[in-house]
Amino acid sequence: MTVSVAQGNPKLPCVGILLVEDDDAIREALRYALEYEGYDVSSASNGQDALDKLKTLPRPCLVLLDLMMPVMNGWELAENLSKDAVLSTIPVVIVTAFSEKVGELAKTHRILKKPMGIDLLLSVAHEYCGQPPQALGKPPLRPVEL
Amino acid sequence: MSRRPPTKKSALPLAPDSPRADGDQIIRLKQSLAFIEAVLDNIPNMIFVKDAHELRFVRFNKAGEELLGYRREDLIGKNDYDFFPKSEADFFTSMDRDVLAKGGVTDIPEEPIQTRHHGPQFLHTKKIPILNEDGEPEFLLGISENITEKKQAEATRIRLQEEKLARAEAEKAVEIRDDFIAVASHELRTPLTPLKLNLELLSRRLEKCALPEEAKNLLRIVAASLSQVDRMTALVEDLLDVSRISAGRMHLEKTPTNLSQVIQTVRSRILTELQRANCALTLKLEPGIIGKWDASRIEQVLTNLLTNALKYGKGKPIEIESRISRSFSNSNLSVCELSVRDHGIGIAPDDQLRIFERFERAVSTKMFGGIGLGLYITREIVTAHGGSIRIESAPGQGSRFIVELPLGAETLLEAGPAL
Repeated sequence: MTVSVAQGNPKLPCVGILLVEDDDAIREALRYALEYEGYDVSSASNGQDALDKLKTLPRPCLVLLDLMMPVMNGWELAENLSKDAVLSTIPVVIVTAFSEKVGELAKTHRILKKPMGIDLLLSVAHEYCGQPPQALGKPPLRPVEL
Repeated sequence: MSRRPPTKKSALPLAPDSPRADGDQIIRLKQSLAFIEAVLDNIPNMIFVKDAHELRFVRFNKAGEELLGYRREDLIGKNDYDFFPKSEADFFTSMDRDVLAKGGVTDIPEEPIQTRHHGPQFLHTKKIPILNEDGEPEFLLGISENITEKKQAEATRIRLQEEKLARAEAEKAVEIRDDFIAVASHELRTPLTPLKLNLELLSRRLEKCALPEEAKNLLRIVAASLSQVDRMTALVEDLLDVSRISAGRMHLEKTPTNLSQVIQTVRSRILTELQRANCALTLKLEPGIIGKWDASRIEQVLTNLLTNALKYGKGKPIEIESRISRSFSNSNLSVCELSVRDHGIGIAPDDQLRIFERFERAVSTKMFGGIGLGLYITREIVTAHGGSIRIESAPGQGSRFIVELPLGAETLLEAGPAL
């Protein structure tokens, strides 16, 4: 698949990854996989939650964004982010189980198709966040409830 | 015709021929009759008067002449049997008799009539008996509006409305089908996502540990579970593709695609399975074939063909070849030919067409798994690209699946080393 380069400016100082995903099992699995690798992960369960968290959190290096979510969906969050001078510099990669309905976002954003393999997920994380701060092989920072 | 003075009668068709009238009266009567005649002739509805006894026409206006296609001179003194088919004349006559017997206005909302120049027409007619001094019907007045156009307009309106409704229903059905495909893809892929990620994470972490023998067995169980997740994922994707195909919704994103690159991508993805099946893969690629194709769909075609080659030719070599060639069906046409050759069980001639159909397989499910969608989807993808697929095979001789893809105007032949 041809992917376009993610928007945003990955060179600005940033910390970790923000997961925006309403499905608890998927959010936890993503967090588990990334934290085990040593990435600093925050999560939000919908677009509005993510917008609120972005006000207080340090700038993340990457937002992994689901599309189908309650309250504010991924399309709406992506639009909101693109309108904001500061937030529009954060790279956003779409993580979706849709293939037909992604729409215009597919032209401007990189897409990870669910169910994706862990290797692909980690290579994307590495691309945007660089080598994780913690040593590899450490257990997750906090216990994960599945 | 009556000889009574017209003033005492309501009968319009009478001529002003009373012997007692003086010259002035006659002139005035003639003037007023001419006036009434002019009014009648300018009314767009057909107006006719028949005598009540023999139902012969005694008056006829211009609109009536135009409608029926007869001049009033030809009509006056004649009855319906002189102008209409018998069945129609019977109908009009019995209707007229009823009106006269009943008295009062009779409204006929719709009656068909055969006209001389305008073919069959439809009239809305009112029939009214005109009585003499004794209260006996003397004439029958008829006023007919030609409702043919109105009726046609109404029929057109109903037809358009029905068509609009049918169109809306068809659009709705397509929308429901599209929604179903979208929702089904989303919902089926959602639980597979954490399942795959968690199992892969488990396997990844376990591989990095120095494991006791017991834990190594557990790792094999994780790996086995993962391969089932991948199998499930493939099934879901195949079923979704079938839904897309049957809904006519297989969307191709055609971009300039380097065939050798596609082949290399698929090869590296399928490497583990090749090793597991102990199949040596040989590539014979013509360099730089670039076509305007949907790269991920062409990858899918090749993956399906390779998966079959592995499945039915375990332990035997497989060859992939790509080249520019004359089309099999039209030797004047240059096409891109991509073939996958295995040395497996082969396919009997009778099965060679059947295996491209949905849920069809050449061999028993007991021997080889799968629900028989791979080749169907493969053929649909190739066809959607304007290409074709064929088989060269015989039982025990292995199979060669040959895909032809069009080299359109956009297709370039790029010079350079093979990938």
